[in-house]
Amino acid sequence: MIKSFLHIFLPEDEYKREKMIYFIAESAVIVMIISLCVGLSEYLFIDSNYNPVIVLFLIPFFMIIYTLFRYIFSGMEYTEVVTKAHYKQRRKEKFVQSIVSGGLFFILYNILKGLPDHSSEWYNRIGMSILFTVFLFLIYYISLKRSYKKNKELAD
Amino acid sequence: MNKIKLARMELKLTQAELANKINVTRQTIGLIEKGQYNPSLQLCIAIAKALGKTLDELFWEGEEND
Repeated sequence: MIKSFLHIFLPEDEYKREKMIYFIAESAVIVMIISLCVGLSEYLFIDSNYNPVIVLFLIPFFMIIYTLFRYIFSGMEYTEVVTKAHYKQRRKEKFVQSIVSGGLFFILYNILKGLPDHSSEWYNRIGMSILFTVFLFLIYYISLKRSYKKNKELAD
Repeated sequence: MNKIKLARMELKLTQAELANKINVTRQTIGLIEKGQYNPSLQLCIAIAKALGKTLDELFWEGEEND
């Protein structure tokens, strides 16, 4: 076994582990190329005065989002879902989980920010929670759908 | 048919059962059987042991085994 702190973040399954290392490495290479291009253009041609704090936050954000999306679209999250009945059951579970998470998001947001004074702010917060719920369910749904499709192709 | 799949079917094991025996996912077994993933030597040995075969019998593609 290769000794690396990355083991903490990686799955136990060999195929999944290998894929995850590729996804993380891909994101690192993309960040490196973009940073190099932006840095060179900045140095040679333009002087746009980027805010370094924003850039520093953008790099890990991009790497996490890229790895997450690659993982979702790879269809390797729900390896046990092979039958239509199991797929439907998991979809239902994920639907409920998304709604509960959306509700928790709404509650936590109100606790952290305090209760709003105007009705328009209430609408904003409700809208944000609905968007959060829809986005979360979409992530679950795509991952589940792709996993199911892949598992069906590979099943005996 | 893939040699691993044949050996697995001889033992009347499902993909999930074999996967459980060697601590990988069912998907990984499916990928190996379809030739879409090359397992590590460690995993090859685990598969061979679980199926009661040698590495040669499962993975060697010489003429004598075809």
